[in-house]
Amino acid sequence: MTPPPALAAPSTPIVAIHDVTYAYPSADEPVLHAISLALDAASFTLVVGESGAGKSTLLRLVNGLVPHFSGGRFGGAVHVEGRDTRAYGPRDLASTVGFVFQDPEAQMLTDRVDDEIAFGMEQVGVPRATMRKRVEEALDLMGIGHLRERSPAALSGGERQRVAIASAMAMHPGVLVLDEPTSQLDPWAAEDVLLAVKRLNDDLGTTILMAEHRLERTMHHADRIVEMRRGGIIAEGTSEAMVRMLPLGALPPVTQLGMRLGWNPVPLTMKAARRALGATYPARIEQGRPAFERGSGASGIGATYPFGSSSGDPVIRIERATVRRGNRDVLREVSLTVHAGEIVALMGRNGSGKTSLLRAIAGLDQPRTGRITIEARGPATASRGRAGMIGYVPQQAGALLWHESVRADVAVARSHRHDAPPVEAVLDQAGIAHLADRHPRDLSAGERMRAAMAVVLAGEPSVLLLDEPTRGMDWRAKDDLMRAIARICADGVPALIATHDIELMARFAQTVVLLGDREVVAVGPPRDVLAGSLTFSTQMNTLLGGAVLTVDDALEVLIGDG
Amino acid sequence: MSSIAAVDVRAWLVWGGSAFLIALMARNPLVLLELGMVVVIVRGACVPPDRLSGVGWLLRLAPVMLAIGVLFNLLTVRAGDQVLASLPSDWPVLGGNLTWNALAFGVVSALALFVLILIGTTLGALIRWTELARVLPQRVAPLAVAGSVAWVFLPELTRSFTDIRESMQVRGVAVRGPRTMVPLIVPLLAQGLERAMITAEALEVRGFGGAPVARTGRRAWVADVVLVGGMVLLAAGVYDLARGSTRAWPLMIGMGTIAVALGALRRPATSTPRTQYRVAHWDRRDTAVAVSAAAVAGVFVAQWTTGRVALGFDPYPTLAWPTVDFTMMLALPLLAVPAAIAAFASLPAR
Repeated sequence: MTPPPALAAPSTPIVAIHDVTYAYPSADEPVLHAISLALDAASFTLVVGESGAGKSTLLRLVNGLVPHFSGGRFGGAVHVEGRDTRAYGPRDLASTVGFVFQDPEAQMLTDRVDDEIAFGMEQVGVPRATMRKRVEEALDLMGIGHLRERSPAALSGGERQRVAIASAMAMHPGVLVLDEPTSQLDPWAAEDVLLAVKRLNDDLGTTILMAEHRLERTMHHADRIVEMRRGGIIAEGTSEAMVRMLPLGALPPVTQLGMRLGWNPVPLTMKAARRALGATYPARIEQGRPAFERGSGASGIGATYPFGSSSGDPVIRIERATVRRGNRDVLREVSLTVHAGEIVALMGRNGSGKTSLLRAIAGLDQPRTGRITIEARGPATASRGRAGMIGYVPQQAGALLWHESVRADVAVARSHRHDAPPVEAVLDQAGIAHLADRHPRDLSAGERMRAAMAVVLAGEPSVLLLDEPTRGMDWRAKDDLMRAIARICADGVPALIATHDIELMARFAQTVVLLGDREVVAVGPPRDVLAGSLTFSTQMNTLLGGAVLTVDDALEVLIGDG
Repeated sequence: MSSIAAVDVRAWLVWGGSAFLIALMARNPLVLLELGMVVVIVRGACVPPDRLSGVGWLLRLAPVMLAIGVLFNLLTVRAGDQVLASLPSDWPVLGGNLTWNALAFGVVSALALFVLILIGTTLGALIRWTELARVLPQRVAPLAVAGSVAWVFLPELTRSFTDIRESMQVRGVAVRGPRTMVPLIVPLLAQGLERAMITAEALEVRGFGGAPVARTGRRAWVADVVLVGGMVLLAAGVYDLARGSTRAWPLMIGMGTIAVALGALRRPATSTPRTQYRVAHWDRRDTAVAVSAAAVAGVFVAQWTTGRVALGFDPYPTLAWPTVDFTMMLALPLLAVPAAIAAFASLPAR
């Protein structure tokens, strides 16, 4: 691909945001307060912060979506390649600023990949010969040449997101803005997308501005990190400088470990951590590989798990279940037993059968062969039938929220049962009493997920099924959600969670079920299933081996062994 | 013709126009039945499997349309010589004779409606909206792009509906009948609006509509004069028609319409002209499809102007079997030329 045109001189910011304060049309309070930020050409800037901090709004300033599309009250100025966005809207800046949204499904406009890439160029009148060349370049650059004739609807999330980036890049923008581009993707697809973005930055000098929660994958790529809180920029600096300013929980596990052990410099990558480990514990590195095996097992770390319990009575019994949808088996010969109070993580690549297993347990798909039985917790539960016993939160949690407030949604869900708990008790249990009067559409991803959980909890389910509940959440929201789930499980309700979040499940699950190609590949405690795996493992396990999964495990082994 | 891309979208438009013309104008049940069968053959042969939605929903729709058409006609039309039953004459609106004639016409109306829907869904699956956008004039292309976006949007809406319905099902809320569907409408609309906003943003950031450009020069001035003149003529023609004072209104309305169309099409664009990534090439297959479809339309128009009784079906006041129009019945299979090409030519997709 030819370099983007009209790159500004390195000393001149390609994007300059001057003292911008902005409020959405119906809001009393501004969502951005006196924001100033300058992006140098060919830089890679990462915007971090909790949900609702104003990251997406900041990104939308750069191509004029704010205020041209959203309306509202706008003060200050934004200049992109010298053009003031108050005078130039998103259409005028389409060739200068490429924008990639969070949801890859929502940004596809045509029914063929190469048409999708050409769409923007057609709108701004790029000559056909140039267009054809750029489409080929974009396909090659993103490694999606083989998908050119496919319909975007038939692609995986990662493929679709790469098509979206290719569509933006084909316009040869000087600036590429990405709003949490990996939040909907599995770890492997996310890695593909981030590597493609990094290549654009390194090879073509495209200026990157990206909002992202997954710091373990992005932090080391960025030249600069900007932290936002409540509409303002509270800190900014290089990745190395920012590790000391960001909350510990937001940092990648290797960085957390380095911080807690006082390593200097603090490692941002596995490679740097391995180097620091070798320098600190040279005796423990044998032939370049760590050797901490002694710390594992019943006598060492990980003999117990802090959340949930896997010793209760069996609640779900799946016996050699094969489930067919259309003309394809979506689950094959699956057997599994889940106990009261157990937190079970269902893991595996996209398409491995995680959602299919949850749907089968929920009774939405019936097994063709084999059997799925749910043991009731008492006579009242038994009389309800399968539907009333299951609390199922699908990927699109909004499907459970239909009313004008969270309280109304919970109240309606509760009205289907005469012996349901009071609304306030359910809201408390889900940890969202403070959100009771909010409209579900105004909630963040994490809040919406917990509101959906409250709706299913109103039916006092015997089983909780959650499909990718932590998608798009920041670290604190994920932590809060998992603690809320653990509280529910403490009452004997088992929870099955389909997720890609290995680090989180290593801390919270008692059992990991690994699915591959629609079959159960492995079942067991996290230390049995996740330890030693090349792909389904935590950073700490990759670094230290043995049964070490979390930062706390690592500290126990390292400090305990001196 | 394993792919819809093997026939030019303009040829499909001629094919669809011809089929629509006949389904809209003809009321002879034999003609409508034959037309329906031809469309089913083309649908089966030419629509690629990934765009071929099942005909199950169409078959489920048929009895509903039949029931509505028959009941409405039977209960509101009193004419006809074959009395089926009588309702008390003091019943408001419904009282009087129910006739076989009304029932027969209801069946034919339902059949026509069913064939129209069949043609519409088949054409929708045969035509790629992006291709359509490329062959349309710059000024109307945004409409085709809007259609394209709506087409992409449909599967998402279906998925949202399924999600909501299943979440009700899992919670033990019975989903049966229209009453239980009512609560689905609001969340579905809300999700649809959310999606529409994201799509609108995606269109905007990718330059949809193009950046505005200044309109200057003689061409802009002349086009504006022609446009305004056409509008004045149209208004005068409508006024004349309403007053009925002269016989000049057909001329004024006709000339006014032509002037408005010319002025609008010749007006310089107010935004950057769009370019096209893919250029359509017309070949023999397209000619065969377009010419055969145009020939069918030609035969239909000729038959209509000379012997419309054979194409129509009027059961009032006397019920009789429909007339067989051999010319039309022999011409209609020409609409299956695309299927014949698909079956015998095995031409590669473009």
